[in-house]
Amino acid sequence: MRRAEREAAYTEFVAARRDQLRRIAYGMCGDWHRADDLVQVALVRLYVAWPRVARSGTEEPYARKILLNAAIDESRRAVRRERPADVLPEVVAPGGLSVEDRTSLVAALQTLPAQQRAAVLLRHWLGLPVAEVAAELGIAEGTVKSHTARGLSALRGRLEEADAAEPA
Amino acid sequence: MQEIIERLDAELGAAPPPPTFDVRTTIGAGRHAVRRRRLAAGGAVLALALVVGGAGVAVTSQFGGGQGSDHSVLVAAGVSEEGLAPTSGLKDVFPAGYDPQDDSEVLIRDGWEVYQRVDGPVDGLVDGLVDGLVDGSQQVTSSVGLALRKGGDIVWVLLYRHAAVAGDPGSSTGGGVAETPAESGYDDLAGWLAHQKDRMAGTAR
Repeated sequence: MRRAEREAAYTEFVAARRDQLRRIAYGMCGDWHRADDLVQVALVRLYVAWPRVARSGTEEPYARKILLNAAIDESRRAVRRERPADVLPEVVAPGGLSVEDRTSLVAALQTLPAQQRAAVLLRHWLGLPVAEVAAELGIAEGTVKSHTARGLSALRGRLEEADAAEPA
Repeated sequence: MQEIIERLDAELGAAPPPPTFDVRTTIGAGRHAVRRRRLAAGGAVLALALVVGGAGVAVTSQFGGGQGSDHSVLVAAGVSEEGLAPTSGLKDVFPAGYDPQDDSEVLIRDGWEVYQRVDGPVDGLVDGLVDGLVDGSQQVTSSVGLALRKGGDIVWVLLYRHAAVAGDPGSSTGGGVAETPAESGYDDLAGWLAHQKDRMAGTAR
Protein backbone atom coordinates (compact mmCIF):
# COMPACT_ATOMS: atom_id res chain seq x y z
CA MET A 1 0.00 0.00 0.00
CA ARG A 2 1.43 3.39 -0.95
CA ARG A 3 1.77 6.26 1.48
CA ALA A 4 -1.19 8.22 0.11
CA GLU A 5 -3.51 5.25 0.61
CA ARG A 6 -2.12 4.55 4.07
CA GLU A 7 -2.57 8.15 5.12
CA ALA A 8 -6.11 8.27 3.75
CA ALA A 9 -7.03 5.19 5.82
CA TYR A 10 -5.28 6.65 8.87
CA THR A 11 -7.08 10.00 8.47
CA GLU A 12 -10.42 8.26 8.15
CA PHE A 13 -9.77 6.25 11.31
CA VAL A 14 -8.67 9.32 13.28
CA ALA A 15 -11.67 11.34 12.12
CA ALA A 16 -14.01 8.58 13.26
CA ARG A 17 -12.31 7.80 16.59
CA ARG A 18 -10.71 11.05 17.73
CA ASP A 19 -13.51 12.19 20.03
CA GLN A 20 -13.80 8.78 21.64
CA LEU A 21 -10.05 8.74 22.29
CA ARG A 22 -10.22 12.28 23.67
CA ARG A 23 -12.97 11.23 26.08
CA ILE A 24 -10.91 8.28 27.31
CA ALA A 25 -7.91 10.58 27.77
CA TYR A 26 -10.08 13.10 29.62
CA GLY A 27 -11.32 10.32 31.88
CA MET A 28 -7.69 9.43 32.59
CA CYS A 29 -6.41 12.95 33.35
CA GLY A 30 -9.46 15.14 34.07
CA ASP A 31 -8.25 18.00 31.87
CA TRP A 32 -9.14 18.54 28.21
CA HIS A 33 -5.85 20.21 27.25
CA ARG A 34 -3.75 17.43 28.73
CA ALA A 35 -6.16 14.94 27.18
CA ASP A 36 -5.48 16.43 23.74
CA ASP A 37 -1.72 16.22 24.36
CA LEU A 38 -2.05 12.54 25.27
CA VAL A 39 -4.19 11.80 22.22
CA GLN A 40 -1.66 13.51 19.97
CA VAL A 41 1.18 11.42 21.41
CA ALA A 42 -0.87 8.28 20.86
CA LEU A 43 -1.86 9.23 17.31
CA VAL A 44 1.76 9.88 16.29
CA ARG A 45 2.71 6.43 17.60
CA LEU A 46 -0.28 4.98 15.81
CA TYR A 47 0.86 6.62 12.54
CA VAL A 48 4.27 4.95 12.83
CA ALA A 49 2.75 1.53 13.50
CA TRP A 50 -0.20 2.03 11.12
CA PRO A 51 0.77 -0.36 8.28
CA ARG A 52 1.23 -3.31 10.62
CA VAL A 53 -1.72 -2.42 12.85
CA ALA A 54 -4.10 -1.89 9.93
CA ARG A 55 -3.02 -5.15 8.34
CA SER A 56 -3.91 -7.04 11.51
CA GLY A 57 -7.21 -5.12 11.88
CA THR A 58 -6.37 -4.02 15.43
CA GLU A 59 -6.41 -0.26 14.92
CA GLU A 60 -8.88 0.52 17.68
CA PRO A 61 -7.50 -1.60 20.54
CA TYR A 62 -3.96 -0.59 19.59
CA ALA A 63 -4.85 3.12 19.64
CA ARG A 64 -6.53 2.72 23.03
CA LYS A 65 -3.63 0.75 24.40
CA ILE A 66 -0.98 3.29 23.46
CA LEU A 67 -3.20 6.13 24.69
CA LEU A 68 -3.67 4.46 28.08
CA ASN A 69 0.04 3.65 28.28
CA ALA A 70 0.84 7.31 27.59
CA ALA A 71 -1.63 8.41 30.28
CA ILE A 72 -0.30 5.90 32.83
CA ASP A 73 3.31 6.91 32.03
CA GLU A 74 2.39 10.55 32.50
CA SER A 75 0.79 9.80 35.87
CA ARG A 76 3.96 8.02 36.98
CA ARG A 77 6.13 10.90 35.82
CA ALA A 78 3.92 13.30 37.76
CA VAL A 79 4.40 11.22 40.89
CA ARG A 80 8.19 11.16 40.36
CA ARG A 81 8.23 14.94 39.97
CA GLU A 82 7.11 15.25 43.60
CA ARG A 83 10.05 16.17 45.85
CA PRO A 84 10.46 16.08 49.64
CA ALA A 85 10.40 19.53 51.25
CA ASP A 86 11.19 20.90 54.71
CA VAL A 87 7.96 22.82 54.89
CA LEU A 88 4.72 21.20 53.90
CA PRO A 89 2.87 23.14 51.24
CA GLU A 90 -0.64 24.26 51.94
CA VAL A 91 -3.09 21.80 50.52
CA VAL A 92 -6.72 22.32 49.79
CA ALA A 93 -8.82 20.05 51.96
CA PRO A 94 -11.43 17.96 50.17
CA GLY A 95 -14.09 20.19 51.70
CA GLY A 96 -12.54 23.11 49.83
CA LEU A 97 -13.37 21.66 46.43
CA SER A 98 -16.16 23.26 44.49
CA VAL A 99 -19.52 21.55 44.61
CA GLU A 100 -19.07 20.79 40.90
CA ASP A 101 -15.73 19.05 41.51
CA ARG A 102 -16.98 17.17 44.52
CA THR A 103 -19.88 15.72 42.56
CA SER A 104 -17.89 15.12 39.38
CA LEU A 105 -17.16 11.49 38.75
CA VAL A 106 -14.28 12.38 36.40
CA ALA A 107 -12.70 14.38 39.24
CA ALA A 108 -13.28 11.44 41.58
CA LEU A 109 -11.62 9.13 39.03
CA GLN A 110 -8.43 11.18 39.31
CA THR A 111 -8.06 10.07 42.93
CA LEU A 112 -7.63 6.44 41.82
CA PRO A 113 -4.25 4.94 40.86
CA ALA A 114 -3.73 5.24 37.08
CA GLN A 115 -4.09 1.56 36.23
CA GLN A 116 -7.21 1.25 38.39
CA ARG A 117 -8.66 4.29 36.63
CA ALA A 118 -7.92 2.75 33.22
CA ALA A 119 -9.50 -0.56 34.24
CA VAL A 120 -12.69 1.18 35.44
CA LEU A 121 -12.96 3.20 32.21
CA LEU A 122 -12.43 0.26 29.89
CA ARG A 123 -14.60 -2.18 31.82
CA HIS A 124 -17.44 0.01 33.04
CA TRP A 125 -17.61 2.93 30.66
CA LEU A 126 -16.64 1.25 27.39
CA GLY A 127 -18.12 -2.07 28.54
CA LEU A 128 -15.19 -4.21 27.33
CA PRO A 129 -14.99 -7.82 28.53
CA VAL A 130 -12.54 -8.55 31.34
CA ALA A 131 -10.26 -10.52 28.98
CA GLU A 132 -10.03 -7.59 26.57
CA VAL A 133 -9.29 -5.11 29.37
CA ALA A 134 -6.57 -7.45 30.62
CA ALA A 135 -5.03 -7.67 27.13
CA GLU A 136 -5.12 -3.91 26.58
CA LEU A 137 -3.56 -3.11 29.94
CA GLY A 138 -1.15 -6.04 29.86
CA ILE A 139 -2.31 -7.37 33.24
CA ALA A 140 -3.98 -10.58 34.47
CA GLU A 141 -7.76 -10.94 34.37
CA GLY A 142 -7.80 -11.34 38.16
CA THR A 143 -5.98 -8.02 38.48
CA VAL A 144 -8.60 -6.36 36.27
CA LYS A 145 -11.34 -7.68 38.56
CA SER A 146 -9.61 -6.45 41.70
CA HIS A 147 -8.80 -3.06 40.12
CA THR A 148 -12.40 -2.50 39.03
CA ALA A 149 -13.87 -3.70 42.35
CA ARG A 150 -11.57 -1.40 44.37
CA GLY A 151 -12.01 1.45 41.92
CA LEU A 152 -15.80 1.30 42.00
CA SER A 153 -15.82 1.02 45.77
CA ALA A 154 -13.59 4.10 46.07
CA LEU A 155 -15.75 6.05 43.62
CA ARG A 156 -18.90 5.10 45.49
CA GLY A 157 -17.30 6.33 48.72
CA ARG A 158 -16.33 9.65 47.11
CA LEU A 159 -19.81 10.22 45.78
CA GLU A 160 -21.43 9.40 49.12
CA GLU A 161 -19.09 11.89 50.81
CA ALA A 162 -19.99 14.52 48.23
CA ASP A 163 -23.73 13.87 48.62
CA ALA A 164 -23.44 14.09 52.40
CA ALA A 165 -21.50 17.38 52.14
CA GLU A 166 -24.00 18.97 49.79
CA PRO A 167 -26.24 21.54 51.48
CA ALA A 168 -29.82 20.32 51.84
CA MET B 1 -22.80 0.51 40.27
CA GLN B 2 -25.44 1.51 37.74
CA GLU B 3 -25.43 5.04 39.09
CA ILE B 4 -21.68 5.30 38.60
CA ILE B 5 -21.92 4.06 35.02
CA GLU B 6 -24.72 6.50 34.25
CA ARG B 7 -22.75 9.38 35.70
CA LEU B 8 -19.65 8.37 33.76
CA ASP B 9 -21.78 8.27 30.62
CA ALA B 10 -23.22 11.69 31.36
CA GLU B 11 -19.83 13.31 31.98
CA LEU B 12 -17.72 11.57 29.34
CA GLY B 13 -20.44 11.16 26.75
CA ALA B 14 -21.26 14.87 26.61
CA ALA B 15 -19.97 16.80 23.61
CA PRO B 16 -16.27 17.53 24.21
CA PRO B 17 -14.79 20.99 23.58
CA PRO B 18 -13.26 21.49 20.11
CA PRO B 19 -9.91 19.68 19.81
CA THR B 20 -6.72 21.74 20.05
CA PHE B 21 -5.06 19.84 17.17
CA ASP B 22 -5.95 18.54 13.74
CA VAL B 23 -5.09 15.37 11.91
CA ARG B 24 -2.64 17.12 9.57
CA THR B 25 -0.47 18.07 12.55
CA THR B 26 -0.47 14.47 13.68
CA ILE B 27 0.46 13.21 10.22
CA GLY B 28 3.31 15.73 10.02
CA ALA B 29 4.65 14.61 13.40
CA GLY B 30 4.13 10.99 12.36
CA ARG B 31 6.22 11.44 9.20
CA HIS B 32 9.05 12.93 11.26
CA ALA B 33 8.85 9.99 13.66
CA VAL B 34 8.98 7.52 10.76
CA ARG B 35 12.05 9.24 9.30
CA ARG B 36 13.82 9.10 12.68
CA ARG B 37 12.90 5.43 12.98
CA ARG B 38 14.20 4.67 9.50
CA LEU B 39 17.55 6.23 10.31
CA ALA B 40 17.70 4.30 13.58
CA ALA B 41 16.72 1.06 11.80
CA GLY B 42 19.45 1.59 9.23
CA GLY B 43 22.00 2.06 11.98
CA ALA B 44 20.78 -1.01 13.85
CA VAL B 45 21.01 -3.25 10.79
CA LEU B 46 24.47 -1.94 10.04
CA ALA B 47 25.56 -2.76 13.58
CA LEU B 48 24.06 -6.25 13.27
CA ALA B 49 25.91 -6.95 10.03
CA LEU B 50 29.17 -5.90 11.61
CA VAL B 51 28.55 -8.30 14.48
CA VAL B 52 27.84 -11.06 11.97
CA GLY B 53 31.28 -10.41 10.54
CA GLY B 54 32.82 -12.24 7.62
CA ALA B 55 32.52 -10.70 4.22
CA GLY B 56 28.89 -9.75 4.76
CA VAL B 57 27.87 -6.15 4.41
CA ALA B 58 24.85 -4.38 5.70
CA VAL B 59 21.58 -4.10 3.88
CA THR B 60 20.01 -1.07 5.38
CA SER B 61 16.85 0.88 4.92
CA GLN B 62 18.47 4.23 5.41
CA PHE B 63 16.49 6.96 3.77
CA GLY B 64 17.15 10.50 2.83
CA GLY B 65 13.46 11.30 3.19
CA GLY B 66 10.76 11.05 0.59
CA GLN B 67 8.82 8.00 -0.41
CA GLY B 68 9.14 5.47 -3.16
CA SER B 69 9.41 6.42 -6.81
CA ASP B 70 6.35 6.55 -9.02
CA HIS B 71 7.70 4.03 -11.58
CA SER B 72 7.66 0.28 -11.04
CA VAL B 73 10.48 -1.90 -9.82
CA LEU B 74 12.78 -3.53 -12.39
CA VAL B 75 12.46 -7.32 -12.49
CA ALA B 76 13.71 -9.86 -14.99
CA ALA B 77 11.29 -12.11 -16.89
CA GLY B 78 9.78 -14.79 -14.64
CA VAL B 79 10.59 -12.97 -11.38
CA SER B 80 7.62 -11.94 -9.26
CA GLU B 81 7.51 -8.27 -8.30
CA GLU B 82 4.95 -8.86 -5.54
CA GLY B 83 5.97 -7.02 -2.38
CA LEU B 84 8.78 -5.15 -4.16
CA ALA B 85 8.72 -1.38 -4.60
CA PRO B 86 11.19 1.02 -6.15
CA THR B 87 12.81 3.80 -4.18
CA SER B 88 15.18 6.63 -4.74
CA GLY B 89 15.41 7.23 -1.00
CA LEU B 90 18.01 4.62 0.01
CA LYS B 91 21.08 6.65 0.92
CA ASP B 92 23.72 3.98 1.16
CA VAL B 93 25.26 1.84 -1.54
CA PHE B 94 23.18 -1.28 -0.94
CA PRO B 95 20.49 -2.06 -3.46
CA ALA B 96 17.60 -3.36 -1.30
CA GLY B 97 16.11 -3.05 2.17
CA TYR B 98 12.88 -3.56 4.04
CA ASP B 99 10.58 -0.57 4.23
CA PRO B 100 10.72 0.11 7.99
CA GLN B 101 7.15 1.35 7.95
CA ASP B 102 5.77 -1.61 6.07
CA ASP B 103 7.63 -4.86 6.51
CA SER B 104 5.60 -6.58 3.82
CA GLU B 105 7.42 -4.40 1.31
CA VAL B 106 11.02 -4.59 0.12
CA LEU B 107 12.39 -1.44 -1.45
CA ILE B 108 14.66 -1.81 -4.46
CA ARG B 109 17.02 1.01 -5.22
CA ASP B 110 16.45 2.74 -8.54
CA GLY B 111 18.51 1.34 -11.40
CA TRP B 112 18.89 -2.17 -9.89
CA GLU B 113 17.15 -5.12 -11.52
CA VAL B 114 15.99 -8.16 -9.55
CA TYR B 115 16.91 -11.13 -11.72
CA GLN B 116 16.41 -13.90 -9.18
CA ARG B 117 14.25 -14.21 -6.09
CA VAL B 118 13.87 -16.85 -3.36
CA ASP B 119 10.99 -16.34 -0.94
CA GLY B 120 11.33 -17.46 2.69
CA PRO B 121 14.87 -18.91 2.58
CA VAL B 122 15.31 -18.62 6.36
CA ASP B 123 11.67 -18.50 7.49
CA GLY B 124 11.05 -20.22 10.82
CA LEU B 125 14.74 -20.25 11.68
CA VAL B 126 15.68 -19.34 15.24
CA ASP B 127 18.22 -16.62 14.63
CA GLY B 128 21.24 -17.30 16.80
CA LEU B 129 23.06 -14.16 15.69
CA VAL B 130 21.13 -11.71 17.85
CA ASP B 131 20.18 -11.55 21.48
CA GLY B 132 16.49 -12.28 21.74
CA LEU B 133 14.02 -10.67 24.08
CA VAL B 134 13.21 -13.81 26.00
CA ASP B 135 15.46 -16.76 25.36
CA GLY B 136 18.49 -15.41 23.55
CA SER B 137 17.11 -16.07 20.10
CA GLN B 138 14.43 -14.84 17.78
CA GLN B 139 12.27 -16.57 15.25
CA VAL B 140 12.44 -15.35 11.66
CA THR B 141 8.90 -14.76 10.43
CA SER B 142 9.62 -13.55 6.92
CA SER B 143 12.63 -13.46 4.64
CA VAL B 144 13.62 -13.07 1.03
CA GLY B 145 16.77 -13.72 -0.97
CA LEU B 146 17.41 -11.54 -4.02
CA ALA B 147 19.97 -11.44 -6.77
CA LEU B 148 20.28 -7.94 -8.20
CA ARG B 149 22.28 -6.47 -11.03
CA LYS B 150 23.08 -3.04 -12.35
CA GLY B 151 25.37 -2.70 -15.35
CA GLY B 152 28.16 -5.16 -14.64
CA ASP B 153 27.60 -5.25 -10.86
CA ILE B 154 25.87 -8.15 -9.14
CA VAL B 155 24.87 -8.28 -5.46
CA TRP B 156 23.10 -11.03 -3.52
CA VAL B 157 20.90 -9.90 -0.66
CA LEU B 158 19.22 -11.74 2.20
CA LEU B 159 16.65 -9.80 4.23
CA TYR B 160 14.76 -11.14 7.24
CA ARG B 161 12.31 -10.05 9.92
CA HIS B 162 11.79 -11.37 13.44
CA ALA B 163 8.46 -11.78 15.20
CA ALA B 164 7.07 -8.70 16.93
CA VAL B 165 6.55 -8.74 20.68
CA ALA B 166 2.98 -9.86 21.45
CA GLY B 167 0.64 -6.88 21.54
CA ASP B 168 3.13 -4.49 19.99
CA PRO B 169 3.15 -4.78 16.21
CA GLY B 170 5.66 -1.92 16.02
CA SER B 171 8.36 -3.88 17.81
CA SER B 172 9.50 -6.23 15.05
CA THR B 173 13.24 -6.24 14.32
CA GLY B 174 15.28 -7.75 11.56
CA GLY B 175 18.45 -7.63 9.57
CA GLY B 176 20.17 -8.61 6.41
CA VAL B 177 23.42 -9.30 4.61
CA ALA B 178 24.62 -8.63 1.10
CA GLU B 179 27.65 -9.82 -0.82
CA THR B 180 28.94 -9.87 -4.33
CA PRO B 181 29.47 -13.37 -5.78
CA ALA B 182 33.21 -12.70 -5.90
CA GLU B 183 33.29 -11.85 -2.18
CA SER B 184 31.17 -14.84 -1.25
CA GLY B 185 33.03 -17.64 -2.99
CA TYR B 186 29.72 -19.20 -4.06
CA ASP B 187 28.63 -19.93 -7.59
CA ASP B 188 24.93 -19.17 -7.23
CA LEU B 189 22.34 -17.49 -5.02
CA ALA B 190 20.95 -20.82 -3.74
CA GLY B 191 24.34 -21.96 -2.44
CA TRP B 192 25.00 -18.60 -0.81
CA LEU B 193 21.56 -18.58 0.86
CA ALA B 194 22.14 -22.09 2.21
CA HIS B 195 25.42 -20.86 3.71
CA GLN B 196 23.69 -17.84 5.27
CA LYS B 197 21.04 -20.14 6.73
CA ASP B 198 23.70 -22.33 8.32
CA ARG B 199 25.46 -19.27 9.66
CA MET B 200 22.30 -17.93 11.28
CA ALA B 201 21.53 -21.35 12.74
CA GLY B 202 25.03 -21.47 14.20
CA THR B 203 26.25 -24.44 12.14
CA ALA B 204 28.63 -22.50 9.89
CA ARG B 205 31.22 -19.78 10.30
